[in-house]
Formats: sequence, C-alpha cells, structure tokens
Amino acid sequence: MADCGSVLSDQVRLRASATKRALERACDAIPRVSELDPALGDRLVVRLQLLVRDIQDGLSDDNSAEATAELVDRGNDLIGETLAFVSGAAARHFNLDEGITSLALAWLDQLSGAADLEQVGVVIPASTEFTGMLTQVIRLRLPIDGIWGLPVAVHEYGHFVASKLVRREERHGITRTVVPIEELAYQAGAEADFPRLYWHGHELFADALAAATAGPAYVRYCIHHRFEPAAAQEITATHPEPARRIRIQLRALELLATGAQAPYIEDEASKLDDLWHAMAREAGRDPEVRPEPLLDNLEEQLLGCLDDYRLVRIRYTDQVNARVLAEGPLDQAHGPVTVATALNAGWVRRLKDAGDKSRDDIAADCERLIREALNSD
Amino acid sequence: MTDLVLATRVFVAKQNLERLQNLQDMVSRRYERVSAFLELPESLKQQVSDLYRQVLALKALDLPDGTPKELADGLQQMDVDLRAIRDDLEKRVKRVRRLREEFESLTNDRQDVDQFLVKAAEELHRTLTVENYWKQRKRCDALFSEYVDYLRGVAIRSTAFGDQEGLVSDLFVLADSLPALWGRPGGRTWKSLAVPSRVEQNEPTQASVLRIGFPEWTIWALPLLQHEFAHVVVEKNKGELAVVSRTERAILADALAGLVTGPAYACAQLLLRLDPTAVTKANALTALRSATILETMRRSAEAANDPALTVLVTRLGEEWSSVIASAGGDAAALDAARAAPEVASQIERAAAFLGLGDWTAADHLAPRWAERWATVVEWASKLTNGDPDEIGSGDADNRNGRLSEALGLLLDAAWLARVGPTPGADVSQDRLDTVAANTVARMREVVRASGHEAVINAVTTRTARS
Repeated sequence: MADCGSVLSDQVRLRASATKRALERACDAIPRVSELDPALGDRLVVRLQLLVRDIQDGLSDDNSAEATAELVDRGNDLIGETLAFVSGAAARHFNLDEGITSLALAWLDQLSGAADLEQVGVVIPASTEFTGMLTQVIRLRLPIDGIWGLPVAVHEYGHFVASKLVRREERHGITRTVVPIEELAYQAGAEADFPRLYWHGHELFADALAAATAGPAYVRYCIHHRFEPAAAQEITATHPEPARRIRIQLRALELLATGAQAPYIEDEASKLDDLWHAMAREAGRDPEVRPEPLLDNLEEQLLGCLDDYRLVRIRYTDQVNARVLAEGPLDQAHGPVTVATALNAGWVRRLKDAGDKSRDDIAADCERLIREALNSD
Repeated sequence: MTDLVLATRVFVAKQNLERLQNLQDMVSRRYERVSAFLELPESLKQQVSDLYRQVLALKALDLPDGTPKELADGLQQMDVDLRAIRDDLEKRVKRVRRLREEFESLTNDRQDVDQFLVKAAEELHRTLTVENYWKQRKRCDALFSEYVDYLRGVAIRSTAFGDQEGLVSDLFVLADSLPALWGRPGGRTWKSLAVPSRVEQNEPTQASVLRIGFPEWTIWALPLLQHEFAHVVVEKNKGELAVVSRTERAILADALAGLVTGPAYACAQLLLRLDPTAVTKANALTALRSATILETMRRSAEAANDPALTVLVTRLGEEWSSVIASAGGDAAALDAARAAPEVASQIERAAAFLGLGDWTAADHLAPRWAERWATVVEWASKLTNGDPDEIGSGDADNRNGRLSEALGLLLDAAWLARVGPTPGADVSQDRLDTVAANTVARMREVVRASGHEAVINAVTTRTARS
C-alpha cells in the first residue's frame, strides 16, 4: 500500500506543475489582449503578468506542501480571472457590451479619484457579475440593460471598496491598519461559524454603497430589472434574500435625505418601498425581512461604514439637479452633471414620459449626458 | 336760473380730460429735456477714445534720436490718463444706459396709458354733457384718480430712490414685467405700469394701472401685484370669467394669481397681507380667500406630483392655521372654507381659463411653476448661498419654456429661500436682504435680456425649432 503522505505530496506537485504551465500560457496570452482592446491591455497587462510571475516564483520545490497547495489555489483563481479577462476583452472588442463597460470603468475611476481610493483594474463584460480580488477586474453580467444597468458597476465597486478601504486605528496604545468592512463581515461570519454571513455582509455593503453613490437609480434598477419578486425570500450561500437587499438599499437612501433633496429622496424611497412590497405580494411572497439578529446587527454596522469621509465624498447629493434636468426632454439638457445625476434624471424622465418616448430613446439621451459627464474631467 | 353750476363742472371736467389725453406727451416731454444730457457720457467716451487712439499712434512712431525724454514721458502719461478717463466714462455710460431703460419703460408703448386711460378720457370727453354729468361723475373721478396715480408713480419712480435691498425703482421695473407671466390672458397681450401707492386697489381699474401698496415696496410683496392684475383679467374677460359678487371676484382673482405665480403669491398674501383675526365664520371673505390660495397650491402640487412642493404647501397651511388660532381667529372656519364647493369651482374655472385643462378630471395639467419646482429649489439654494450668478435663467428657459417664466420662478425661489419647507430651513433674518438683492438683480437681468416680447418670441421660436 502506497504511503498516503507521498501520494498527496505527489498530487500537489502535479497540480503545481499544471498550474505553472497554465500560468505560462496565460503569461503569453495576456499581452495579446492589447491587440483586442488596447485600453484594457494598457491598464492590466503589466499587473497580470506580475501576479502570474509572483505565483510562478512561489511555486518552487522548496515550499512545503501546504504552502504550495495555497499557491496553487491562488494560481487557479488567477487563471480563472485571466480567462474571464481574455474573454471579456474579446467581448468588448466585438462590442457585445455596447460600450457600457467602458463607461462603467470611467465612472468608477471618477469615483476613486473623488474618494481618494485606489482604482479598479478594469471592467469587462462576462456571464456573471464578479469582482476578482486578485486582478481587481470587475465583471458585469451580459446583457447589461444598457445605461440602466450601469449602477451595478458601483455595486461591484462596493466589493472592491470593502477590501481596499483601510483606516488607522489605535488599540491598547498600538496603531494598526484595519480594513473595517472586511473585518466586520469576517467577524460576523467567524463568531457564528457561519461563512455565509461574511458573503452576505459583503453583498449588503455593496448594495448600500451603490444606493448611496448612485442614488435611487440603483434601487430602481434592482426593482424594475433585476430582482425577482417571487424570490423575495430566497437566500443563497453568497447572496442574502432580495427583501433584505432592498431594505438596506432603502436605508442607504435615507442617508441621502438631507438638505434640499430630502423631500425628493424620501418620496422616491417611499415609492420604491411601496412598489417592491406590491410586486412581492403580487408574486405571493412576503416582502418583509425576516429577523436574523446577527445579520441585522451586521447590516446596521455596515450602514455606519458609509459615513467614512471618503465614501461621503462620493455620496449622491444631486437629486434636485436630476429633477431640473428631467423637467424638459433630456435631448435638450446640458450643463455640468455627474453620471449619477444623469442616471437619476433618466429615471425621472422615464417614469414621467410613460409611453410618450421610448425607454431606448431616453437611454440614448441619458448616455449622451453620461459621456459628457465622463469627458468633463 | 341757468345751469351755471353744471356747466362749470362739465367745463372743468372736459378741460381735465383734455389734459389727461396729453398725458403721454407730457411725460415724454419731461424726458426729452434730459435726453440730450443723458447722451453726454456716450459722446464724451467717443471723443476720449479718438484721442486715445491718436496717443497710441504717436507712441508707435519711431522717435528720432535726440527727442526730449519729456515728450515720451508725456505721451506715456497721456496714455495712462486717457485710459482712466475712458474706463470711468464706460462705467457712467452703463449707468446712464440703465437710467434710459427705466425712462423708456415709463414712456414707450404704454398700453395702459394709450389704450385705456387716454382712450377712456377721449370717449368721456366726447360724450360728457350737462345732461349726463351726474351719472358720469364717478367715472370722471376714477379716471382723474388714475391720472394722478400715474403721474405720481412716474415722479416717484424716476427719482430712483433706494434702500438696502436695492433701488425701489428696480422693483417697479420688475412689477411692470409681471403681467408677462400671464402669457396672453383672454388672447390679449399686456403692458402696464406699476405705481407706488398707499394701498393696492384690489379692484379693476379704468386704465389698469397696477398699484403697489406701501409699506411693502420690496421684492417680497411683488407677488401681491398679481392679485391686482387678476382683477384686470377678470374684468377684461367678463364673458368667460363672469362673477356675481365681490367675494366671488376676489377668490377667482386669488385662484388665477396663485396658478400663475405659485407659492410666492401664497406666501406674500398669507405672511404679509391677509389678516388671520379676520378668518371667522362671520367674515367669510378672508377665510375663503386664504382657503382658495391654499387649495390652489395644494392642487397644483398634486397635479405636478412634486414632493418638495407638497412639503412647502403643507407647511404654509399649518402655519396659517396656527396663526389663526393664536391670533384669535377661527381655524375651523378655514377648514370649512377649504372644503367649500365655491372655492373648488373658482380654482377649476381659473385653471380652465389659463389652459390647464379640466381640473375636475383626473388627468390635467399642472401650472408651469409647479412642473419646474426643482428649478425653484435649485435657484433658492443659490440665492441663499450667494451663488446667484450660477442661476442659468436663460439656459433653463431656452430648454424648458418661455424666458418670462424665469421671473416667476425667481420670485418663488426667493420666497422658498425665505420660507423653507421646514422651519429649520428658513433663511436667517440677517440673510434676507442678501436674498432679496440677489433676486432683484437676477430678475433685472432677465427683464433686460428678454426685452420682453421680442426676445420671448425669439426664444419660443428657437425652442420650437429645436
């Protein structure tokens, strides 16, 4: 009978060798992305190659089997992200995303600049949404629903921010760097020995940040396009139930209800709440969130994280201007606006026009405003 | 016995009516005398510019060696001095231009004077006889009263006196422009003259001279003028807007003025003018008037589906109810009046007359100011925060409507800045003068830019093309 330890060790070496070969091919393939999409290539090729080499260098024979296994896992993740990156570049090249991921990337860069945070790697179209923490590549799911789906990029950005937002904290006379959102989610999960809470916390924070940054446009998109009312109470390993996600989004909107925009935001939040409740009830589902103390408590703490001064800087404060823009047809609108303002103006106009002008026409007007907003930097 | 008394009175009346017919000439002559004087800065500036050009030409010459240094220095000094004089004259030219505009607003194309006061005087002069004198005496007195008001108004306005909030004469120029907010009520275009007075007329007048009552010669009281104009509109459209009583006329005027102007009108009436102690069951007029104003606002907010407007309108209703109770009036009388069918029906008549559709039906139009309430909110914040230059009244109107609309929106914005949607949002007392001055300045710009009908028409055409 063969020694069990040596078989395992053999297996790790074989996997390491396969990963190394795959990474080599990835290393060859990555620069060719620039042929498909120079913008993507410029932004990510060097970073990806460095990551690949970092793992390749680590996969030496001197490492323990445990360390090698960990590196192999990282390598596999990286290969997965590289595959997505290459296919995303191809999708962008063939304009499968209708240019929306470029807009999303420019928007997220603007937000990072305003919040003084690191920029994401790139935004690419994919079959599912995901934020790769190694490559910092944000994937947006196709079909993207045009500009209406743009706020989802901010939701994905929320995952990125959760892992990048650090602050210095002093405890017991020792100053250390903490990643507060990650820590909150991790501790909630660890204490309950329940990793689901970690993922759910991440999702809830991303939802809250998207609502606070994109304003009602994000919540509208979730309710009108994305969330299935029949699944209002469905919980998965990675995502909390839509009812809970809507609740945290609406609570994030409450944070925006200050100053002159307060009545507009409060009204929007109230209408969205009513709409979601009506849709869920019509689907025969309970729209209320069922109590789950650990997650309820985490939700509260995550909302508190939105008060970080960097996130306050990118908070949506422009609903009055969005309404001003929407007073007339958007094709005649101009002036300094932000992407979030343009999106919210689009929604106000879309709800107001109710059939007079097609949703696609409004989206086209809105897209022009968004491009103006992104080019004004 | 002869009819000496009567003949004397008719003679005097006719003489006065003749004088009245020459009113426009008389006012114009007054300005002809100063006209040449007003041209002085412009002509001086031209002469100084010519001299300045000559100095520049001399300076550009290559002076031969041995030219005394004093010559070059002298030219340089002349260059500096002439430029300073030219700049100073430029400032004076601007001031004079503004003065001329004001004079012209008092004299040119005065529809009120031409069509009503003078024509009415001509007609009366032609038809007045000893036989009908006693019957016509009241009409004569009314005309003379307007004549005196008009002259007094011209005299006061042309003194260009001012206070902390800017020139009071500015207010009257703005007041002249307010009828533009009405568009063409009953198919008529309108130009009128607002004159200072002790109290507003609140009744239709012969010449439709609009009176602004003292002590409220401020931007805040300007919306009250819309009530006066509403009376004129009712009078000139008797067919469509027939009324059977003074009360009915007053509440119809309130509904019209409210629909045309917006919360600025409600604020001016409720916060400055109407007497809360007079809101009682015994005295129906004030209860009905304030109820009409509040209901007009409520229904406008409802039609526009604007939450920020709704919050403000709700606050105004609560504040008015509260002051009625504390002042010794009867808040229940207000509630009853708000539910009164005559209030609803006058609002509906006013809305129909103004082209807002059938307000008894579910689907009807909201007034423009209500549709554009977000603009009002934005402008209010800029008036308060000292960014009035960022108010793009021209831009907004090119895109969304008539330029004259900006006047009404600015009035609403000023009042919204003063009376926020919640008590905590009210502007502090020490900022009131700034808000008022900013509003006057912006409204003056709109009036200047519009040149009234000419520009408004141009903008409308441009918007239609785009």
